[in-house]
Amino acid sequence: MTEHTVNENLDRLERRLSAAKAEVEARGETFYPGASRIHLASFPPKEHWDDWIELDSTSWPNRTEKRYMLVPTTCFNCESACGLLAYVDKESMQVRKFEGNPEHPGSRGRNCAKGPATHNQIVDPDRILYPLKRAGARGEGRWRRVSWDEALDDIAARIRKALQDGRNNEIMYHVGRPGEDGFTERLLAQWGVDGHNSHTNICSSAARAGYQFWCGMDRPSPDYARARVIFLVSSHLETGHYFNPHAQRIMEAKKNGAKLIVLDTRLSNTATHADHWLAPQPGSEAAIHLSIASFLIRERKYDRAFVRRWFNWQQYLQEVHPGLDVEFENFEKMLEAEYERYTFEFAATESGVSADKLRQVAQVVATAGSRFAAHNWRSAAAGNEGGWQVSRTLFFLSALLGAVAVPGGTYPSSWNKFVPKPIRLPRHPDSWNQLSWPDEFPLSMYEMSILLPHLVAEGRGKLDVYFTRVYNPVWTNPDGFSWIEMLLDEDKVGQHVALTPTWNESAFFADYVLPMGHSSERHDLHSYETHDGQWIGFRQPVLRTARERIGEDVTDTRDVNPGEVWEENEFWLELSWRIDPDGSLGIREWVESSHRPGERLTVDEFYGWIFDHSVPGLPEVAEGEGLTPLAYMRRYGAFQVTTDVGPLFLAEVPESELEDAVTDDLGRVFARGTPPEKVNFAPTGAPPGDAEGRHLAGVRIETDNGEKVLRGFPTPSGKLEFFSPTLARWGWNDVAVPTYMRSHVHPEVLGDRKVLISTFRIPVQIHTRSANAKWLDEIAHSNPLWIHPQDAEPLDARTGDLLRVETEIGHFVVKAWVTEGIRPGTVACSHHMGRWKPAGGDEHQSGQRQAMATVDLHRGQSSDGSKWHLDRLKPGGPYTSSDPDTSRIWWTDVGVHQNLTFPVHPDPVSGMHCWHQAVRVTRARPGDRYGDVHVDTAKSKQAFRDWMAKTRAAARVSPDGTRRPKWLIRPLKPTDEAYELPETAEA
Amino acid sequence: MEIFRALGALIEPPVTAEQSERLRIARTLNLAASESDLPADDTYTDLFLFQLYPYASVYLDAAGMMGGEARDRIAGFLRALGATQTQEIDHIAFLLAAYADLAAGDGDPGTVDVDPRRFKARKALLWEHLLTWIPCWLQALRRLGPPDYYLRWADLLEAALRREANRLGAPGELPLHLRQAPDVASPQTGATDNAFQGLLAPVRSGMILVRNDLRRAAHDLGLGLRAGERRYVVEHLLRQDAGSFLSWLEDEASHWARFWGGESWLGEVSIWWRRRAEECRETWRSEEADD
Repeated sequence: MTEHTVNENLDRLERRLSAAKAEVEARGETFYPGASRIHLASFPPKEHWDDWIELDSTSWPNRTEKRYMLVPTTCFNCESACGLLAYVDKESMQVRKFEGNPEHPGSRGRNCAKGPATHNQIVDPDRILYPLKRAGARGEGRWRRVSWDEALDDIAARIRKALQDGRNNEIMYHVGRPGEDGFTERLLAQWGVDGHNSHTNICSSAARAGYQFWCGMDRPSPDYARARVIFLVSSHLETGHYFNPHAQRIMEAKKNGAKLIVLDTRLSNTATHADHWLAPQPGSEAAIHLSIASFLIRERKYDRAFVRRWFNWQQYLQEVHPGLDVEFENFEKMLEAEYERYTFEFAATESGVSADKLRQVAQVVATAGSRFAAHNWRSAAAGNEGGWQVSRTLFFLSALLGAVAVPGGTYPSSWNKFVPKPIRLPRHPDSWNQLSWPDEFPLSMYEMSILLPHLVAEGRGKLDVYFTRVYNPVWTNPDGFSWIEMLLDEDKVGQHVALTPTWNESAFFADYVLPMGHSSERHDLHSYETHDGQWIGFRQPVLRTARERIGEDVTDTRDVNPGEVWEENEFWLELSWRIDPDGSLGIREWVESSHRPGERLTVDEFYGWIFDHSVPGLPEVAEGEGLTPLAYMRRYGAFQVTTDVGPLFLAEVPESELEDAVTDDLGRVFARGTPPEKVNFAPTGAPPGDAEGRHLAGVRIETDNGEKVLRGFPTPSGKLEFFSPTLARWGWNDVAVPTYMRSHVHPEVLGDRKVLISTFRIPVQIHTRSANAKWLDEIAHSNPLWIHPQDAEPLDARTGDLLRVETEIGHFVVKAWVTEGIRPGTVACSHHMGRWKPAGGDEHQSGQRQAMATVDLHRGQSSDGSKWHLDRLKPGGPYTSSDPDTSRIWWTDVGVHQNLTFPVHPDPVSGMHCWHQAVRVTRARPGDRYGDVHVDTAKSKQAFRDWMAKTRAAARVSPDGTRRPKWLIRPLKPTDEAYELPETAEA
Repeated sequence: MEIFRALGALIEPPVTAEQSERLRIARTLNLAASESDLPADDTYTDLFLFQLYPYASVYLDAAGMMGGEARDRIAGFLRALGATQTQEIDHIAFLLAAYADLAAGDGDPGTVDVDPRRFKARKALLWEHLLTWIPCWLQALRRLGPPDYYLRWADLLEAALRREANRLGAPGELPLHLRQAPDVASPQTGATDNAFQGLLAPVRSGMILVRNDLRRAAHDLGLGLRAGERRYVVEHLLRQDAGSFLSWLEDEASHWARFWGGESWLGEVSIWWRRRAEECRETWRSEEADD
């Protein structure tokens, strides 16, 4: 064949290929068989999701084909809601396995170990399958199976009575893992109950505070993939919690040459990937940040134009330096003076990291330009008093570099998250719940849930119906024995309803245990910040969707879930329906179907409305595939609402909105025009308007193209609040600019004690629900105490030796792990293990046997009964069950429950529980046994009082007679009247 | 340039459930008419998992194994182009897809539509990372006697590569992979380990020795074939009858030198490879003489 003929043949084949590809893709199908399997992205093409064939691994060496239906859902094991694809066996109509969902924009088909392990959770032989009601005394461990109707009617009647009596604040819902964005908050609001209580103050209150005081939004969204320098004070997040979506983008950036800086006292998984790992003295992180900021300022390496336009420097000069002219140059001088003291040498003294190393890192930061992605979530912010300054000083670096909402920088979360408008918006409750929002914490980032037992003990209120929902405060919160004391007292907690898929330490003290589904057994709609884009993920009961695909009509998720396991959305709708059977409470109308008046709203109608009306672009894309929006979401499980959101603060405010506009001396523009219709309901600050009723439309900014009114940030100034007038006016003027605050575990107060770090966990486990995930348990089932050889030597401690760790209120006994991966003077214990169940429960109360030790839980000899003991009777080990693997369990060590020995440490500003503990570590004493925990709750109460003394209560500091600045985010906002402090408090 | 992407897709590990897609592509390229023409999974496994690994680094790296500097060079090159980074970036399917991406939308060389930077990158990808190893890899594939499907696939890929080489013209200098390849070594001149590694690293020896080749050697020479990795097999063939085996190696090197001599369309690249095979022949011949 001649060369000419060969080339003609090639041309012809090229044309045929292109035509064939175009034809296939025009049908919405995939021409090439999935993404290339030569790399990690290996997915079944979506057109095969109805009938996917794989060889059955259990039939090997025979080649037996299994046919599957692939149904998407989202993972429920951490908050990030990565996409999962359930492989539903078409013969048995049961889920055989979970893999990643390639259509999910956040996780992009990838999962961490916790995703596939969902299968362990749904077939867990110990899971709770039926509603249970306590049969003996509370905590006695005796239960009887009841019907859903019995439980619902009893609970609904109790709530109805409380509402009719005006005891709205006696209803409380306490949430751990969030499910659907805003669903329960709205539901409670419609009940007229300010009863939403979250776990936030053991999690992220401090980090949220740091971000919110800056930009009016309380989470960061680093654009890792496009960053030049990544700065993490958040190894917990990147290796444990949000692991998958963030880690994959960090690695993407590293492959593209980005430098990774990690601050972590431990050699965490994240730290092992760092180009620069700093292991600071716990609590010194803000000092390090400020030394870098000082360097950037001193060396004029910051983005002057950005700082001039977007810092509220005018307000800073007016209020902090009133004698100076309001000129930017004066601000720069004051800025330099303000941070002059934060030299590398100062930070080195505080942190123990050498000044040379800090200088080296600062120089790397300076090379980032605006491609500086920084993140802090729990970690140091959650460990220390004043920890909120860790995130505030970190964001300071981003702001100085102009690395805010630009490619490779850090976005405010609310711009990278999409919460669609729900089918109905609720009313605002007219009460203020002092048990969740005590006046001592007017600036707290969400509810003060750790204090609940103490506030109830003080007589500030009681609970008639208390829901713990996928939450385990006895185990997860500090000071768990105080929780047990509260839950055992029926005068304080009238009825405790535990909504949970599995047994947990709090459920043992419940009146009802109601089984709720895992990720493939429930509906939720959610969105999280993972990159510069907005997406929604749809969690759904996959067997329900699978059955609907084959033509069956399923109207209740219980019909497809194992046993009588339900989903929460249907549960809450039904409970609301029963609370208000005649509509007199105004609740029934909120959960009534629009399509079928007189009937309860269904989840299909609920989500169908949202997808039809509230998600821009979804109806059009769905129509393109010949699907309804709901069917599209059921088919693909996720939808990318938008990409490249960009710097929304630079959006120009349209003329039409600037009707009757006035500009104040800070450049804030207030106007009466109609603001744009709210499409995205992601929470942001709500800055107030002016005294004449205009709303804050934007800020007047001198841009390169002249002066313009730009949208700005949702803060009272409309700008980035370098100086926080909120802090200044609410009693915290001394820390109103980014500042280093010495921690409660600063070396000067430690004496001979060490710092115990507990704000991390092994990435394969979650807090409460993975205890029976056998694949995860086999990987990680213990939590030894990390201790440096220098600290181990005086104790003559070797790995595996028993140590006693003494806190302010008690002690626990743990095994040593001698390692150089921890800073000397600091010890660390992962919080992912140490599960237990009390001895003596009946056959219903199985616990989670793969990871729970059996304990003797009892009060010791003391006049006030404050001395509590948790003595280990039986470790973990093999047992017989419907799963043959449980008889093959080879480990007995299931870790130690350290949180019981931590008193509450509420940060007086953010409300965050400051997790780090000053502890004494000694060798175990005679009689000490592994896993033993002893606590005196009288000492807990004293610690509570000591920390309450640090607060600056609203009654003392409120500038306007309210309990809390109204512009700050609050998950559930009561009426304006409820914000008013009572007259007695003001007096 | 869709043909490169399509040929790449067909050399990925087959998945039962995607048989229809594979057939659709193969049929479009006249490689198969029905499912029965598609090779069985075990054929793929034997050819590409046990014999002829479809990764550039195996043929271009001094260690003769996956990864190493060769893969880093490819990764660096593709990173500079902004291509998605993957674990196995030097797999032939990925490289062909990357080439298709780069060539997509580009006009024919010499026309006004050509973006000079893109053209330069495309030419570099072709000559540095494809033509440096795929021609001899295809030759090794043919020597394995695969089903007709793979023979047709190989012919089509070679034809497409030849057309690209003609269109884009020869590079100004020898590709970096080849310039930096260390010489083959004999046990006389270096450690034995290095000599065996050099013999089994194509970029050092100028030839590809797969398991089947060694099996053939044992069969032809009447020697025992020890089960193990290639290096182990070579060691034991040498131990049993060094003279015969070295003579066999000389013939192999001659085969590859002749092969490269016939690939003049590759210009300096083929000359370099031919010399490599000849040097290897001489090196191991002297080994024989020394014995």
